Order: sequence, then structure tokens, then C-alpha cells
Amino acid sequence: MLLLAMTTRAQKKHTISGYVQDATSGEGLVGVNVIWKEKMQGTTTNTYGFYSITVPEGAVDLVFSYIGYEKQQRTVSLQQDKQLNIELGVSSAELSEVTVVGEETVVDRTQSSVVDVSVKQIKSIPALFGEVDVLKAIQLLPGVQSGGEGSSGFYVRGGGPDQNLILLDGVPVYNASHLFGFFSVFNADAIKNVRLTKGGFPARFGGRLSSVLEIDMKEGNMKKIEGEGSVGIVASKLTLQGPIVKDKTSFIVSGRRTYIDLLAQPLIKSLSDGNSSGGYYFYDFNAKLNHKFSDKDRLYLSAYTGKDRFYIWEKYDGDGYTDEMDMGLNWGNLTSSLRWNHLFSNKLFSNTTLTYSKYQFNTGMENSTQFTDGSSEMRFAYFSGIEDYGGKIDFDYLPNPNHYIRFGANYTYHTFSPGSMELFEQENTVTFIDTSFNFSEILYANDGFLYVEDDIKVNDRLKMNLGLHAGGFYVKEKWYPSLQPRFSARYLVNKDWSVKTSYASMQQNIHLLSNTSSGMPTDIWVPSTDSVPSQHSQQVAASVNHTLGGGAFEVSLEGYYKTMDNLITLSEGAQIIGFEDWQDKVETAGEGRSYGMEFFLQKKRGKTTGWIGYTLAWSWRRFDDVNQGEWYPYKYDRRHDLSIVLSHKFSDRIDAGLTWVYGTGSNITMMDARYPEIGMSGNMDLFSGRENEIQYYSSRNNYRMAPYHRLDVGVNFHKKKKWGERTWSIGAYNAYNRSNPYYIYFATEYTQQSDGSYLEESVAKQASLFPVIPSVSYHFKF
Amino acid sequence: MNKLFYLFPIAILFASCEDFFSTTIDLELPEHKPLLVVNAVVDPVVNQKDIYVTHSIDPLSSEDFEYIADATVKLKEGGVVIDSLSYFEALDFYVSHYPMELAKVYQLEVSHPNYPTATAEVLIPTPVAIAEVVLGDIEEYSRALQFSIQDPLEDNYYLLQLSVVSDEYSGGIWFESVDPSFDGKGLMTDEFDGRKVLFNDQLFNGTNKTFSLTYDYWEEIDSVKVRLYTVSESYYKYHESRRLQNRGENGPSSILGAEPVVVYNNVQNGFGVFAARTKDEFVVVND
Repeated sequence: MLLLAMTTRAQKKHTISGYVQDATSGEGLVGVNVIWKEKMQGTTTNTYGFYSITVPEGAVDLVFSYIGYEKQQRTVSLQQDKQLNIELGVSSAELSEVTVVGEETVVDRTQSSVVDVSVKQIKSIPALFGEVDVLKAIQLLPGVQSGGEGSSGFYVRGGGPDQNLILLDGVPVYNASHLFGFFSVFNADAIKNVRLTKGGFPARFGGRLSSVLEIDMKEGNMKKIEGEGSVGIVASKLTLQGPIVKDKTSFIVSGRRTYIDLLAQPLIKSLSDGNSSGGYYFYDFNAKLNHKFSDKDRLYLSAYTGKDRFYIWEKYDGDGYTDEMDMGLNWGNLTSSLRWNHLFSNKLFSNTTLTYSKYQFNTGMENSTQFTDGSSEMRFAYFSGIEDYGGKIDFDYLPNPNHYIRFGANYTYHTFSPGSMELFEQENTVTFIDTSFNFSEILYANDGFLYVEDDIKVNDRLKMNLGLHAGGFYVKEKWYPSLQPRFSARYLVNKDWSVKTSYASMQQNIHLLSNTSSGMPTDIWVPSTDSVPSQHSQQVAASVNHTLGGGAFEVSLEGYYKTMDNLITLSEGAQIIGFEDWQDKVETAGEGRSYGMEFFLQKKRGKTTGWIGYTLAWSWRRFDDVNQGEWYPYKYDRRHDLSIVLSHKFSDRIDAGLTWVYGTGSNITMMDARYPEIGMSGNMDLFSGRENEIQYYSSRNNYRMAPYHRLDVGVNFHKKKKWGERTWSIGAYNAYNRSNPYYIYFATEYTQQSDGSYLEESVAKQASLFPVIPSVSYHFKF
Repeated sequence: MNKLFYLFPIAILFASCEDFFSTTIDLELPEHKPLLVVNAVVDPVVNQKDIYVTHSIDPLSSEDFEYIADATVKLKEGGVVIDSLSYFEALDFYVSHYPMELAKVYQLEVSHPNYPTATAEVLIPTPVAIAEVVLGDIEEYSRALQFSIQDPLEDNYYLLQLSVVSDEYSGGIWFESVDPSFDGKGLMTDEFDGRKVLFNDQLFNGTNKTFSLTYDYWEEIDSVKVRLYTVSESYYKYHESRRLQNRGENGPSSILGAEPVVVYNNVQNGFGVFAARTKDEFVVVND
């Protein structure tokens, strides 16, 4: 308030506000710099392209700039508040070059630990099977580590995969993986912005400890009908967008489906004489409607649905009987949001959102046998999932160029279904089992928070973001309140250098039960309870930031230290699907600490764009009942992690991409010794084979696998056609065919000797998943 | 239940990939220096005091396990040696002739010039008596059975086992129970079904507890022996963790990266378990 008072002057002021959008599509542009030229003060557009700046009465020069677009300067004679909408056209100078994202530079922005990755850059990264993947692009950023080979799971600054809040148009996505983690659910053709926050979280975010990944869908072209699509080895996709009423209402629909099952089906049927079928597919479908009621009101309705399905059917005709088996595995997300932007005044912007999110997993098997004189039937089905209904209201209040105040409220009603099963077994008319179980009770939780934050310009050099996030989580008649202070500051040394620091306290009220790194469909979300309390973290970070080459290059060096409390992990030997209540299967009250340095060199303009990211990191865990209560390295404690991502535009017709990654090997728990067991009766038998051996593990994650490294390359050939543009993309994943470790196991091998006997030998084997995988795909745009 | 999920398609998918993409590698593990393995389940009531001594080996070693016959094995009480055990070559174990007593703590010290000296101790449990046996009618294939115990106040661990009493047949008898103390050990459901069950008194500590079960009835079996062992904490923890390790090794979780189970070990400077059990039993006559 004091600062507000200090900035209030006697001179009369007025507010200029409006939206900045792309001239060709009408899409709102996020993060456009809006500068009051005389004082070199300014603001940026928000997620919806809205800006507001309050300046003194009289002639005012405003400059709107955004990398890749023609800069616009507007002189406004200001006698009263003014609405000024701007359309920026793509820069002709930039047309011949690849341009990346262009909001505030890393030097200007108050917030640290934030990275924007343009969809254009994501699409230029060579991908596994040619399938462009947003999450795999995120894994290439410093401070972010991938899970296993090919996995779309990601680990931020030593946190777990459950500690990432993934928001699609503001709606949480609970399982972002297809095909057991090998692909993410986000179709890049339908996406407009991707932003990852790793620390220094503004107060408007909460609910997860380690990161917030915001993915915004395109709004739909307001000017003309457009389409794009592709046909690849694994999947095909098609996106259509355009105006329903020009400059008023637009739509976008986008779909993707894999088709290996369709191609393999005839082959499977012919090989089995029609007695078996099976396959796997996944699909995604995104849709969005966007309507402008007026300059003050806009409505967005967006939805995403996606599903994976794995199925096997077999029939066997035996002597006097016919046996039939049908098995299926299904999982998927459904999210939707209805957003209403309203301008209460030219200084107060609001966004009201209603959200729905659901993740469900189910599997089942049915086996029936028909005898000549009877029949038998056995079936089981298993279900788990989470469902959310939510509402939130967010306000952006810009009283003057020195303050950008955000405040709001958020409420979500969760329904957790940690797992239930149905079992049925019948022979002729005798029913042996016909029952259903809830392994754990269905839990309902009320989850809400209030927040306020202010981006304060203290003087020309110092900017701060102060915020408070007050949360409450109510489950099983108990409240879990929290007050989470947030702070970040930027000091501008000169126009090319800045230093930043941040502090964030976070609380996470939901947990993920998972025993793998890959985002399996069986993973279960569960709420905090008395015996499994909420997780907390505190993180401090500091960075030095620099731009050079006239802004073409951005460099940052950032250090962080994070502590985490009340972490959970599955108990040794516990399995997610089982009859025990989930609360009996977890170790609680875990501690975590992680620290490290991140180096990020990014080139955003020119024919060659990309980045080099390097992370030096440590991550530790401790649980009372794990590893004898001693600290142990987290599975993804990866000391060195290097990513080189480059795209080069040779001409309008040819561009190429290259990615090279190197990471210290992951930790696994390896057997140190083996010894014979004693039976329950007190007898021993040394000669009954390996099944009577006990495996001894000295400590958790006691062995580091070999380093992971991989080169991916891709080339795109573009050609203008009468109807639009086509692109052939060819590429190779793991171009030099590195056998990267996926997991290691012990095996016994037998070698026949010259005398006919067999020599038994214990060997260690390393399983690798992907050799060199070439890809080719065809893209079109009209 | 867990067996069902061995069919889990994910396991099939990964298992099918296992051989195709795997290569034999040189694993640079720290060399394992073999330690003594001391395994013993003593039961003073039936005079079972067999101590097996072997050694551990490196995971990649092709060496076979062997009984160690030339170790020095001493039984102690309060740190004082009370018996030096002799090796019984025919059955490959060391045997003690000392009359061990209930509710006492005994130590075992095993030394050998090639290995560090290993030590362990155990408290001999006092058997908990079975009372109030109630038999149900004989059904077509089964018979219900109830019995009670007065569980002592401290933490107690039990092994319940049903077996055949017959000249022609031997072995365990299958039984089922929905007792929550047996929870999670069933094959298909949350009901227990099996021939023996290891459990603790967490749900009935210090109370009078009644167990209800149904055992398989065959006409050919004249009678069934019901044994309730009171076992040492080390016995319970060793076999329970061993069961979990076995389950993890064979299930899909091992392929998908679940954390392995560390088997309980109460042998200092070595491996194995020094455990004890005592029992009470009764015979059900199928008349």
C-alpha cells in the first residue's frame, strides 16, 4: 500500500488497455511487450493477450513488440481511458528465418526458473517414431530429467513425477501418458503455448511441489479456415480450425489415432484361422470454441479426451470343448473447461473457469469354456481413477505501470477411487465366486485456495513478486490448511545482465502411488489422510541472466536448493493392485533434499535456433523404514545431464533438427550377494536350485547404470502446393544405435561342454529398449 | 489375487521384449567377500536345535553353496558359553544338547578362520495354549473349526498349520478363513486359503482371540492335527520378508522396477536367521 501511495502523483492519468493478437489468425499473443516509450516503462500481455497500462494524460507513444512479429508503435493522444486492440503481423525479415518465442527476455522477467518452449521448436525436435511429443521436449530442459528410455515422465529438480502439476487449458491432467509412458497425451498441432515453472512459483499456483507445466490449446483461427495433419509410422492426425463467425467465433478440432492394430488385425486373424485377435491403440481428441461477445467479454469452451486400449481375444476348439478368452486394458483422461474473460474496467481483467477432469483405468478378463455337457465361466474386472469438478476465478489488476496485482480463488471437488475389483466364477449352475471388493474406500475431498500476488516495480532496476497462497484441503472430516509465502526478485544490472532470487513454500495434498518411472496406467492418485499427511517443500533459487547478440542469445546460470517433507513411497514389495488398503502399502514421513546448478544457453533467433542445457544435480531421500533409515540417492539422482537441441533452416524448403542427450546413469538397487534360505520347518536344502536363494541388497539404489546418451536427427522437406504446403519428415531416433540401459537383471546361462555336460554360469544382463529407429512422416497444411 | 496379475498384459509385453533387447554386460559390482550364513530354527520343546552354517556368494559367482563342517559354534546365555556344538555330518548341521528354556535369551557365535565371526541371539517364545475347540458338522467337502487363545500382552507372532494324521497320507491340509489377521495372504481373494499361515497379534494384542476356519474334509483322512506355533520375532520377520521377496521376484513388478525386498537378517557380520518356535496342538478326529 505504501508503494502504491508513493506512486500516486498529482498528474492526471489514464489507462490504455486491450488485446494483442496475431493479424493472420486472430489468436491472442501471450507475453507481448507493451512499452511506454518516453519512460521505457511497460507491461506484457497475459495468457489471453490482454494488456493494461496507465500513463499520464497527453501524447503517449506505445511500442508493441514480439519476436517474430513486426514491431508496432502507436501514438495516442490520451484525454481519457482508451481501448486499443492491436494486431501484429509476422515480420517479413523473420519470415525467412526460424523464430522462436518472443516475450520478455530472461533478463527482464521477474520470475526465475521459468522456461517457455515454442511449439515451433517442439515440432522441430526429432522424435521417437516421428511422433512429436511435448513432454519429451520438456525433458530436454535443464533441471528436468526423463524417466526410463522413451518415457514421457519427467522429474524436476529432484522431485517425483507426481509433483508436477500439468495443466491443459488450466485443467489438471492426471495421467499424461499413452502406451505405458512412451508417448504423451498432448497433440502438438492443437497446442499454442508451453511453459514450465520449476521454482519461484507465483502465488497463483499450488498443489504440487516441483513444477507447473502450463499447456494452452490454440483458440482457433478467427480469420480463415485452416487445416493441418500428418501421416506417420505410428499415428495420423488432423487439425481443423477457423471462424464460425469471422472475428467473433472460432473453433479448432484436432484428432490423433494410432493404427498398428488396424494394420495387424488381418494378419493376426489369418495366422490364427480367425481364432484370435488383439491389438493396441490410443487416440486423442481436442476441441475448442472461442467466442467474442464484445471487447469486454470472451468465452472459451475446450475439451480433451484420450484413451488407450489393449485387447486380446482368443478362441480354442478342443476335443469336446470350446474355450474363449477375452482380455482388455483401458485407460484415459477427459478434461474440459469453460472460461469466461471479463473486463470489469480497463485495469481489472477477470477470468472465470469451470473445470472437469477425470482419469479412469480399468482392466478385465473373461474366460468361458463350453463343454458338451456343461459350461464354465470366470471373469474379473478392476477399476481405479480420480474425478474432479472445479471452479476458479482469477483477477489481473493493473493500477499503474509499477504494479501488476493478481488475486483469485480456486475450488476443486475430488473423488478418489483407489481401486475395486469384481470376481465371478461359475461352473454349470454352481457359482463359486460372485463378489466385488473395494480395496480402499472411495474418498471425497474439498480442495481450495485463495491467493494474492503483486509484481512490483520498485525502481528501474529492482522488480519483485510478492505473494501468498492460502490453501485448505478437507477430507474425511479433517482440514489440512496451509499458508505458503512466495517471493521472487530481479535486479537489473544493466540492459543485458540481471540477477534473480526466489523462495517458494509449497504443499501437495494428493499423492501418486506408483512403482515405476514410466507413468503406468495402474498408478493411483490418493488424498492426504491422517496416516499419510500432505507433502511440503521449500525451495530457494538464485540466478544470473544475460542476453547477448542483440537479444538473439539468452544465457542463465541458476542454483537451487529444495527440501521436501512427508514424502511417500511404496513399501518394499508392495504392489499397487492388491487387497491391502493403500495406506498400509506406503512408507510415509519421508524426507527429500535436492540441490544443483543449471546452465541454459538459448538461441531464439536466426537460421539456427535451439539450446544447450546442462544440469549438475543431487537428489536424496530418507524414510525411517527404508534403507535402515539412512539417506539414499533418489532413483533419478542424475549427477550430469546435458541436452543439445539444434534446428537449422537451410532454405525455405529444407530444415533439420538434431538432439543429443547425455545423462549419468540411473540408480537401481542391485543384489550384492546371495545365500541359502531356511524353510519354515527349520530344514535347509542346498541342492534345490535358485528358488531357495535369498538375494541380499546392501542399500537402496546402490548401483548406477551406465550413462545414457543418444543422438536423434531429423530433416524436413517443405514444398508449397496449390492447396497449401506439404512436408516430408525423415529422421532417426538413437541414430548411432547406442544400447542404453533400461534395466539390469541376473540370469543363468548354460553352455554345453565337449563332454555333453552343461556349464552353469551366472551373468548380468542389460535390457535396452530402442535401437536405432528410423521414421518417416508426411505433413500437410492448408 | 497376485497370481492373476501375472497374466497382466504389461508383463507379457515387457517380458517378450526382455530377451530380444537384452545383452550380457560386464557388471562392475564391488566384489563380495563371502560371509557366514547361520540358519537355525530352534524348538526346545521337541528338542530341535539344528544350526546350519554355510556361506554367502557373489551374485555372479558360479560357485555352489556348501555346508561348512569345520566352524566353531558356541551357544551362550548372558554372554557365557553354555555349549559347544558338534557337527552332525549325516544331516549337515551343528546340534546342541543343552536344554534350552522358555522365555530365555540365547546367543549363538559362529567362527571360522576364513570368515568374520558371526553372532546372533533369540528369545525362546513361550507357547500360547489353544482352548475352547469347537467343531462344526462335516459338510460334503469341508468342516468348520473354531478355537481360542489368550494372547499375551507383548507383541506375539504365530504360525498356524493343519496337517494330516494318517498312515497312508502325509502333508498339510488346505484351510480357508476370513480372519482379518490373515489378510492379504490369500491366493485369489482377501480370504486366506492355504496350508499354513504366519501372522501377528496386531489386531488382537492381549485379548482372548477366537479363530474360525474351514478345512478340506476327505473321507480317507481319519484325523487332522492343528498346530499353533508361537514363533520368535525373528522367525516372523524373516519368513514374512522372504515371502515378499519371492513375490516380487516372480511378479510383473520386478520387470517394471518395483523396489526389491530386503529379507530380515539377525546375524551380525553374516547372514541368516536365528529363530525359535514352540507349539501347542490338538487333533481333530473326523468321525
